[in-house]
Amino acid sequence: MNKVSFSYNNSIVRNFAYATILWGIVGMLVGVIIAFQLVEPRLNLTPWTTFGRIRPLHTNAVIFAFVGNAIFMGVYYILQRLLKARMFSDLLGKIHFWGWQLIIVSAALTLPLGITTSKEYAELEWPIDIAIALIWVVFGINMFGTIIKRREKHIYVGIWFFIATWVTVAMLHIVNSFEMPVSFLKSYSLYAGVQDALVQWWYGHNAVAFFLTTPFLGLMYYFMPKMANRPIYSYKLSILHFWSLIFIYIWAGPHHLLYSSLPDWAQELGVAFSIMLIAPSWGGMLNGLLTLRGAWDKVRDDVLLKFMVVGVTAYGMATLEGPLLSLKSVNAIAHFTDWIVAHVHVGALGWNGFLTFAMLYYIIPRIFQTKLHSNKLANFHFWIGTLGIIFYAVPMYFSGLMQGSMWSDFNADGSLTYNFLQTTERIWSLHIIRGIGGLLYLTGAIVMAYNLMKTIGAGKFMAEEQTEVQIADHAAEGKRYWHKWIEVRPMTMLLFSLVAVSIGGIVQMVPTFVVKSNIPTIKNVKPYTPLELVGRDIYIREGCNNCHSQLVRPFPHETERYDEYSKAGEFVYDHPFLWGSKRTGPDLSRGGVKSNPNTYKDEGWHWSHMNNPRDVNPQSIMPSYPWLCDIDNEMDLSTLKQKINAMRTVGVPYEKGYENQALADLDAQASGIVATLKGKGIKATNRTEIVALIAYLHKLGRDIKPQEVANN
Amino acid sequence: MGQNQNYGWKGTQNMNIIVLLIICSVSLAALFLSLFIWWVRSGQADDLETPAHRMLFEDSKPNTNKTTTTANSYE
Ligand code: HEC
Repeated sequence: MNKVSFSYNNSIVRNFAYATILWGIVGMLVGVIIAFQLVEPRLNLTPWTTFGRIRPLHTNAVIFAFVGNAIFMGVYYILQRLLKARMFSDLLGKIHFWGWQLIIVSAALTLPLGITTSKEYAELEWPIDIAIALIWVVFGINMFGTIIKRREKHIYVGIWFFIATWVTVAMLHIVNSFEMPVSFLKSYSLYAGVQDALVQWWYGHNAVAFFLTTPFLGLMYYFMPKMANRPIYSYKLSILHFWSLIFIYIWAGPHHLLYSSLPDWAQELGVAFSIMLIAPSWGGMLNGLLTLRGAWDKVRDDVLLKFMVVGVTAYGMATLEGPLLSLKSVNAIAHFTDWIVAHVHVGALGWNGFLTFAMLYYIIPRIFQTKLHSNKLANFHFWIGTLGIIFYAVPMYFSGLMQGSMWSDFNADGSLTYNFLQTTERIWSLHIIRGIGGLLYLTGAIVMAYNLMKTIGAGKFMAEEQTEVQIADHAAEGKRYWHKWIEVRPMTMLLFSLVAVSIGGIVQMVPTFVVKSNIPTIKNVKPYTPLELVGRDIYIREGCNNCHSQLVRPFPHETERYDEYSKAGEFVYDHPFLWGSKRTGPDLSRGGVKSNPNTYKDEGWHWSHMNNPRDVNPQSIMPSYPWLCDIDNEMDLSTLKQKINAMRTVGVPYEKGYENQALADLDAQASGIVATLKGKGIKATNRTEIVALIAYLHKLGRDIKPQEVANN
Repeated sequence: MGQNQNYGWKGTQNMNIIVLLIICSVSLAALFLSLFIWWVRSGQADDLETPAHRMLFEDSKPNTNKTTTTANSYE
C-alpha cells in the first residue's frame, strides 16, 4: 500500500460552471425571442436579428455553449475524483476553456451576420470548424492523459460514456465539415444533395446522441448515486446499456429523412435501429430511477434529486417518443411540424437543462465550501422550470398535430381544405403559450443564477482541493474478466468505440457516395446560373431554410399543395442541400414551376412579398426583408469567380474558364428580371439582391418540367 | 456535360451496394460475437458490485485510511 497526496484542480471546474450559467441564460433568452418572433414578426427588428439568422444562434448557444460547457464542467469535476488524479494538464485545461469560449463568441458574431453553412447544428463556417476540431483534440489529450495517469485502476462506467462521446463527436464533426472554402468566411459543402442530406442527418442525429445523450448519461451515472448517496441500481446493466447504446445509436440517423429522396433501404435501416434504441435508452433511464428505490422520501426533501428525477424521466419520454416518431406512419404526420420542436425541447429542457441545474447546485457549494444560499429559491426554480416545460411542450404537441392534420385535409371534391396561411393562423395562440413556457423556464434559470451568485459570495473558493489516496494493490483486485480487460485499457476502449460507430456510419454513407444507381440522373437538371447561385447564397445567408422546406414528400396532399414530389436527381448540384426540417412557411421547391399558380409567384409578387410579407398576406408571420429590395444594398460579387471555381472543384460541371464568363451571364439574366420589375413600376438594378433571389426561387423545380423551359 | 460528372463525390461508381452491405453486416456480427464470447468466458458477477460502491467513498477531504472514509453525503 502506497500513500499519495495531491490536489484536484477546481478552478477549471468553476470556470466552466460560470460559462454554463452565462451562456445558458443567453441561449434561452434568444430562444424566447425567436419564439415570440413567430407570434409578432415585427420583433425581427434588424437584418441581424431576423428569425432565420438567430434561430441557429439559439440552437448553437444552447447545445454547444450551455450544454457543452456543462459537459466540460462535469467531466473535469468527475474525472479527477473517480480516477484519483489531478487533470493531466492545467495549461491544456485553460486552452480548452478559453478556446471554447472564443468559438462561442465567434459563433455569436458570425451567425447574426449571416455567415453560415446552413447545415443544422453545424452552421459555423470553416475557420471556426477547424478551431472546434483543434480544441476538441486539446480536450481529448487532457482527458486521455488523465485516464492514463490515473491512480484508480478501474474505470467507472460514467467515464466510458465520456470516452465514447469524445471519439464519436470527433468523427462526426470532421466528416460533416468537409467543405470547399470560397473565401475566408464562405464555403460550399463537399457533398451534394442527397449525399449531403445523409451526412448532415447522420451528424445531426448523432450530435443529439453523442453530445446531448451519452455525456449526460455519464454525468447521471456519477451524480445520481452521489446525490442519493447510494450505489447505482445495477452496475451490470450500466455496462450492457453502454455498449448496446453506442452500437445502435449510430445507425438511426436516416429516420430524419423518411419519405425523402434517400434510398428506401437506408430509410428502413434507420427505422429498425431507432426502434431497437428503446431498449438501451430505457435501460439507462430505469437504472437511474431505480437507484432511488426505497429512498423516494429523499426526493421529497431534496431539490437536487427532484431535478434529477424529472430530468431522467424526460430522457425516458424523449427516447420513447423518438423511435415512435421514426415509424413511417407517425413521421408522415409529425415531420416538418411543431411536434418535432416539442420533442427536442422535452429532451433539451428536461434532460439536459434539469441535469445541468442539478449539477450546478451540487458542484458550486462544494467548491466554494459552503451551503447553497437558498433551498427555497432552488425549489422555486424546480417548480417554475417544470411548469415552463409543460407550458412549452403541451401547446406544441397540439400545434404539431394540428399542422399535421390540417395540411393533409381534403374536401369531398378533392381539393385541399386549408391553405397554408390558415394553418399558421390556427396555431398562433398556441405559439404564445409556448413563448410563455420558455419565459417561465428562463426565469427559473435567472433565479438559479442569483441563488448561485449569493452562494459564491458567501463561500470561499477552494482552487486546490487537497486529497490523499491509498493506492490499492492491483493483484488483489479480484478476477479478471473480459470487461475488466477492456476497462483498464482506455486505448482498447477507444478502438472498440471507434470500430463500433464507424461501421454504422460507413454502411450508410459509402453506398450513396459510390453507387450510381442510387441517384438516378435527371437529364434536364442543370447547374445554377451565376445569378441563381448568388441568389441561393442570399437564401443561405438569411437562413430561409429555417422556415421553409425544399422537399416535397410523395403524399397526395403534398403533391396537391406543392406539385411533383422531389427526386434525388434534382439535387445533384446542391452544395449544400437545403431541404430544411421545419415548415413554418410553405415548401418552396416548386417555386419555378410556371404552370402551377399555387407555387409560382411572379417577379413583382416576390418583390412586394419580400419587402413586406404583410402587404401581400396580412396574416403572414414571415420577417420583412426590405434590405433585399434596397437598390443601394448591392449584392456581393467579389467572390463570384471563386464560387464558380469552388463549385467546379466539388463536381458541378461548369466548363473550364466559365468563371470569366460568369459576370456577363449574370448581367444578362439580371437585366431580364429588372426589366420585368420595371414593367410593374418597381425600381431595381442588376445588382439589387432581390433580383438574384428571384432568379433562384424561379429556378426551383423548373428543370423537372422541361416543356416550360423551352420558351423561358 | 458528362453524365458521370453529376456526382460531387468522385469514387468508384460501380460497386455493388449489396456486397458492401454484406461485408459491413458480417463484420458487425463478428464484433458482437467476439464481445459475447468474452462476456461468457468471464465469470464477472462479483466484480460488478465493487465499483458502484467504491465511487461513493471518494474523498474530498484528506484521509489516511480508505476503510474509514465516510460517504461524501449531500448537505
Ligand atoms: C419566420 C419564418 C420565415 C422565414 C425566416 C422566411 N419565411 Fe418565407 N414564409 C413564411 C411564412 C409563414 C409564409 C406564408 C405566408 C406568406 O406568404 O407570407 C412564407 C411565404 C413565403 C413565400 C411564398 C410561398 C408561397 O408559395 O406562397 C416565399 C416565396 C417565401 N416565403 C420566401 C422566403 C425567403 C426567400 C426567405 C428568406 C429570405 C423566407 N421566406 C424566410 C415564413 C418564413
